[in-house]
Amino acid sequence: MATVSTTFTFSSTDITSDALSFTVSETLSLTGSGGIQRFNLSDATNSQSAYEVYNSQSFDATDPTYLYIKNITGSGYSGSSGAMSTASFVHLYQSGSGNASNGTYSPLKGNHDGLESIAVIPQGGFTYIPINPDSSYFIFAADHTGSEGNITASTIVEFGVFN
Amino acid sequence: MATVSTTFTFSSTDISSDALSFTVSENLSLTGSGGVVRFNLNAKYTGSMEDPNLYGTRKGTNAYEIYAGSGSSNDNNPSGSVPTYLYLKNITGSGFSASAGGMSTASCVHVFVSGAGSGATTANDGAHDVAKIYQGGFAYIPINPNVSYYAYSPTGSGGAGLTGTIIEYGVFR
Repeated sequence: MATVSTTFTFSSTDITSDALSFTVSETLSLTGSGGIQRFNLSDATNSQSAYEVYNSQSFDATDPTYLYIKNITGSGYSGSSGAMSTASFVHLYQSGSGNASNGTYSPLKGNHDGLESIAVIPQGGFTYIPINPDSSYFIFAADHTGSEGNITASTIVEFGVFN
Repeated sequence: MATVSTTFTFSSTDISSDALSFTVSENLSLTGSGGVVRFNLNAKYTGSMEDPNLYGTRKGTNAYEIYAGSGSSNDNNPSGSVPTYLYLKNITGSGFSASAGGMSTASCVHVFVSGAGSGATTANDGAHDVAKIYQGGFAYIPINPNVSYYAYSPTGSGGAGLTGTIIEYGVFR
């Protein structure tokens, strides 16, 4: 059993008439599985050029599981991979166990099987989701609307799954 | 145009052999729409949901719509090109829920998406859960503005009881 602390802070001085700021924290009790890794989405080869960040068979469906993803394109690290797009977005979508295109879900627009993107992460942006462990999660690089083909250079992500 | 700063910190002393800790921040440039509201899920949805761990369509009418995307009956013509951010916390059991009377001891807030082009049969049918937020837990998602996001607290496996499941959420764009 491992313990992880997560904290999220939101602050703005001009989105409301008075300054708005709040911080939330939680302490996660995990089985000890997890880590952070970096991946260049241009190297993705599985599931029609999307990259699987979590497989539905990895953990038990009842175990709380957490996904963190950051689009680090343009934040320094991407410099090592050569020219990068000026507008890379990381799209996150999910697919059920088994064949996602086998009648359960219609294909995502484009070439991916699964659902419409559930998160669209801009350069420098991040997401933190207590995911559904019974579902697989995939990411791919595209523009904001999900159209591929406009992104020709490296889009690099940093992600971790903690269970 | 409004500016919002978000910071996320992750730390653990025992998930790896050495202590692991990192902090990420981003500055969002928004159009100025947004706020944080609180909602008692059992005020909207009091029925039972089939096993939330199985995939299948979810009815948007059986859950609370936290963001109206394209195809929603509440669609206010949101632009799909405007970056939009969702913050959602399950505050059941964190003090605020006391005012709602007896609360479940294991409320879990489930989130699913629905909308035109989502693969659902109608605009109000969703898919299986994209997030499961336990008591005290939260999620932060740069959402897809073209689909709708719904929250519910099921009676099936993965979360027991609907009484006094309270969420705090905000959509910023």
